[in-house]
This record gives sequence, C-alpha cells and structure tokens, in this order.
Amino acid sequence: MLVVVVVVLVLAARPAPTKGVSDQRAFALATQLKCLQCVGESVGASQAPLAVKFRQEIDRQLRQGRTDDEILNYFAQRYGRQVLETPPSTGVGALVWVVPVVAAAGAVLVLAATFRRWRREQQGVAPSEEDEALVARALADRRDGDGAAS
Amino acid sequence: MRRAPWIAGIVGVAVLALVVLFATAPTGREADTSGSVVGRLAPALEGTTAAGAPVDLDKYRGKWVLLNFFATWCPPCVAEHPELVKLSQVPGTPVQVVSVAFDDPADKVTTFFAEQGGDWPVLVDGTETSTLDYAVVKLPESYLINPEGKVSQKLVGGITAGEVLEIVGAEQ
Repeated sequence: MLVVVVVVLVLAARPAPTKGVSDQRAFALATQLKCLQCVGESVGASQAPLAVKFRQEIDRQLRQGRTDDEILNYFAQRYGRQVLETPPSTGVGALVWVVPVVAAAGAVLVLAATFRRWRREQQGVAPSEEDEALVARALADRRDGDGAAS
Repeated sequence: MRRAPWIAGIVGVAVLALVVLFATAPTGREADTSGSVVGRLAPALEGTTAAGAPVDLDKYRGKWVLLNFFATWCPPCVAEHPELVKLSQVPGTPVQVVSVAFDDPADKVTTFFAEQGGDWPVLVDGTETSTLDYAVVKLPESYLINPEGKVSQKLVGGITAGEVLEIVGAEQ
C-alpha cells in the first residue's frame, strides 16, 4: 500500500512537459499567468473572458512550437511583468526574494548570538564556598541519619 | 541588550523594503501604461465587419482614431455607446471611431447597432489576437491613436465624447 502511495505521489509530482502540445503543458503555462479580471486566480483556474482568451492564445502558440519562455514573454511584453505569477528576480521585484533571505539570515545570526551568550553565562556560573559548605552539611546530616536508623 | 541593534536592523530593512515596494507600485492610470502599447506604434489590426467588409486600421493613418473594445453583453459598454454615437456625429469630428467586438457573434453586434445606433466600422472577425496585442483587461477600453499611428492614450471604462475631443484638442 505504501509503495502504491509513493508511486502515485511521485507520478503526481512530475514536472509538466516543456515540449510538445498537451493539455498538461497548456495548463502548467496558464497557471503561471495571473487572471487580470479576477482576484487571486490564475488564468488556468478562471472562466473570465480574458482568461479564456489567454488559454486560447497559449494553445495557438503551443501548436506553433513556441517554447514556454517565448509564450510567457509574449504575455509579459503586452501586459507587463505583473501578469506573471512568479515575481521577477530583478529590479524592485527582487525584494520579494531578497527580503525573506535577509530576514532569515538576520534571525539565524540573532539566535546564534543568543545561544553563545547563554553558554558563556552558564560557564561563568560556579557554586560559592557557602553553597558547597551547605551541600556538604546536608550530605553529612543524611549520612548521620542513615547510620542512626540502622 | 545586544539583540536590540540586530532586531532594529532587521525591522528597518523590512520597513524600508515595504516603503520602496509601496512607493514604486503602479497606481491608477499609471498601471495602464506598464507593458502596454501607449506611446508606441499601434499594433496592426485587420479584420472584417459583420457585413464581411475588410477593415485595416492602417487605412486611417493621418486621422485620429478611437479604437474601442466592447461587447454587447457588457453593461458598461452599453452605457458608453451613446457617447460613441455622439462622438461620431459631431460635425467635422476629427476622430474616427473603430470598434472591436470582444467574444460577440456578428448577428448580436448587428442587432445591437441597429437598436442603439452608430455607423462606424465594427470588427467582429479576424481579430483574435488584437485584444492581447492591445493588452485589453476590462471592457470597455479605448485607445486613442494619433494621426502618426501612435497610441496616445488608453482610456479605461466608459468614455465621453467631450473627454475624447478635449484630449485630441489638447494634443493637436
């Protein structure tokens, strides 16, 4: 059963084809484009008239043998890069990628500094002579008590 | 105490990034020009009317053209239509109206114009990619094309005849 589940998951997780004409490739491309007449939907998931036009154009260009990049660029050239679901990795859009990395790196540094400080503080803590004497007295009292009982 | 500068730094970077994002985010009509045809030569547009007559946008070079994308099933387009009729009927109007029907069968377009008036070229066929070439998003949308064939303005939503004539007057 586990093997079947693993096989199904592996097959389901296969990347969409990047060559040829297929519904799977067309859908994969459509999900990389925003539906500009909707809120929070991709072209692949929308029935808005413009999304339907986008899908028709994707199909047409797939039949012409265009690559994925060429098709996505076709839409980006006309509607601007904001039509792409994936933010660009250059210009201001790069902040979307950079800020989380910087924030995560900052958090790791803060954690590392905090752990180091805790370790240093722990190493600096040693029992005083009074504490040691108190423990010795308590141990001696217990030994005496045990001896008296036996 | 030593954590404070780190946290302040991280928060500072995050706030700065948000400020930059908000400051540079497109707003209002500016958004219409990003990646659009405004300021560029109007994309070629050839098609046929409901009557089967061929129309080539290039034929109108030397005139102002209001290229209007509409649909008979779109209420704002229906509301805008009288203004297009008015614009086309202004004596000596400097603007030629050309319409492109978006996903509308020829018979519906013919009936619509018969009922609502208007006598200008309306393309119903052969314009499959024109919606995308002009980066149309929501109907109605109009593109004001100057006599040199460049897209001067993108007008989103219903236009008025006065607004169009004012723009043309200012740019002439």
